Amino acid sequence: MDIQALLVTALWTMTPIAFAAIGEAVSERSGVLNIGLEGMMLTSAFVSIYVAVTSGSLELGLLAGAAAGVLVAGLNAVLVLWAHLDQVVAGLTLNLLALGGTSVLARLAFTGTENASVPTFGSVDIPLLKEIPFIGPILFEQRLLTYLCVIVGLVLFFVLTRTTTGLRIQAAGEDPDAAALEGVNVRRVRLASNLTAGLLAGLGGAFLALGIVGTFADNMVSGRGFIALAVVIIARWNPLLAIPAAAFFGFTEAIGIQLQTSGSSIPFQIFVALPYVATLVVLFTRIGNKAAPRQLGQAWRVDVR
Amino acid sequence: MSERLQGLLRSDATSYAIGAVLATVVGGLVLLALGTDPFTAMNSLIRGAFGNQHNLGNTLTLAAPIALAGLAVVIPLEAKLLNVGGDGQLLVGALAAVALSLVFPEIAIVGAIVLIVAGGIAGAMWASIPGVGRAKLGVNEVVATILLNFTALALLSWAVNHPLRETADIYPQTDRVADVFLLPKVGEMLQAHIGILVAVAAVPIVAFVLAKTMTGYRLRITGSSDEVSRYLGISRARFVIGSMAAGGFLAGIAGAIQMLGVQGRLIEGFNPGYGFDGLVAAFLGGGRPIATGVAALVLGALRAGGAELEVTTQVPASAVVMLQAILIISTLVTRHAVGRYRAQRALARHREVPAAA
Repeated sequence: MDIQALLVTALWTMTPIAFAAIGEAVSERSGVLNIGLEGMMLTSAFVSIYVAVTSGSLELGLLAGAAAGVLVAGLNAVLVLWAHLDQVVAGLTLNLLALGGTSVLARLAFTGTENASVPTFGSVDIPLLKEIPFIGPILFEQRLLTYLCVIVGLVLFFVLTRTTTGLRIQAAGEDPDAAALEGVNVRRVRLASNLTAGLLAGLGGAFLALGIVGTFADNMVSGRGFIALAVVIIARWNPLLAIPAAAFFGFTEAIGIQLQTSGSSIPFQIFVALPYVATLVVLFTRIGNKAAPRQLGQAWRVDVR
Repeated sequence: MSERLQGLLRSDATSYAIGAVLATVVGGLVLLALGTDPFTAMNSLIRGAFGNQHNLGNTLTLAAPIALAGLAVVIPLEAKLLNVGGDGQLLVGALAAVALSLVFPEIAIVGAIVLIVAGGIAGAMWASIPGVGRAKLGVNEVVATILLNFTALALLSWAVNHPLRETADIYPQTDRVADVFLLPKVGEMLQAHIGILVAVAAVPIVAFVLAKTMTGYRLRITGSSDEVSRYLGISRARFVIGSMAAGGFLAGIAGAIQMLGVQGRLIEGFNPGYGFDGLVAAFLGGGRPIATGVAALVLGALRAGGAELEVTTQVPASAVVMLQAILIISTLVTRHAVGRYRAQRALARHREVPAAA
């Protein structure tokens, strides 16, 4: 089994999940749980393919996909922060809306003979660094967006842990009452964090469509949004750790596919289940438990107090 | 879970009406955009769901597991727990029933009932995992149940590929369950298996237990106040785990009757999504058992009618999924707005009283 090739594939195919998980880590730190990540990614995947096909530009498609993610996140924010719908209910409903909506729109948009596929983003090799034995090709022969993902993770980690904005975000998720007393606009902080999650989930969905698959298919995100939620837990709500955590999911999946195609006697389902079981273990031990933002998933409004 | 979850989900005739109207209008516009006459489409949707005995039987067959999965959400919701794991619990229930029938065919003497109960127990055990996590460690049950859904899918895939793979060894599926275990039809007229009666019975039973018994009362206290439940000597952990297990039991039964009444064998990738529809039914039903059962019937009809719609009008069945989402959003948002309006009016009345006196 070629471990190096598996890792190259793992990083590439996990980029959408890493993007979504980075944004979700920030959003959850502010107290907003986005069960609707899946729907944000799916909407973005559709929009990015549609725009890329009609405009002929992958870059425009990417931007449109990111914007679509923000739009769905905005809808989520309206439902959760203004209409005070339960966060989980709102998220699950948005997933349904995206699943049905994109499927219907795809039939409207890509009718008949028109070819609805695009060439995917190629890899961008970084000279010198890619010469490093073993890890060189893994880390430095990736897609541009995979590098961007690492940069975004670093930046958001810095913002979250070293800036006033980061403190406000954490305060909104840990103790919104105290934060409000200190003059933090909890709703605005949560809105901004939620939109950030939407932007990154949008980039993730667009990369899935334009960087991996190259076309749109119904339900093509197929659970990646939910996996991103698990990645956030494994990463203990740290946007930077979300990247290796996502790569771990990708690596076990790649091993599973390898075993399946090579006809090995080891049941590949062990590797399919492994990341979920690992996430459960992290959740069920106090390490994972303590790291969770205290007011995660809880509505907060000033007018009922 | 949010403190106000149950309050938000409280049913209200106004919000149902507005929700239904909005969903119909938006649905009609979508159909027009797709170039289909909305009235023709509506007609074939209704015909597909209720048009003849076959279609009606189909609707009931689809509604039964959705109703059971809906109750699997409703019961833990009383303790303010959201069980998103209906799909996983349903899968392990199906797996347990099929596995038992294939490994111990001797139990045919006792009949299908053993398999149905076994499916229920498997679902209950699967649901107890997040229950224990919540009660003992404070683990978020929403995330835990989602993770267990994926784990159940992997478990099922392993089972049909390895220990339970069919004797012919061609497809990743189990052998057919022996005929003695298969559920008979309700009657000559109605093309539905008698398993649907389990759902028909479960809805009023759960409604009764939750509303009229000490257990239901204690369960609600567990959800509403830690202090009160401690004062009354209610074991919080027992009710948290118990309500999850009870929900999982019903979802597991749904899986078992689906196997014995419809499929007859377990196939790779079996995941009909009834657990998720159950969640939708519980949301629409405002967390109340009877209303959830009615909502399950509507969702079953939408599934049956949606299939007919796709055949006759080329409208994708997924349009129905979008309608569900619009139905939930408009119903819940209206319910919230109506609630707030009433609260404000009550407050205004309250303020007027001293002035008048």
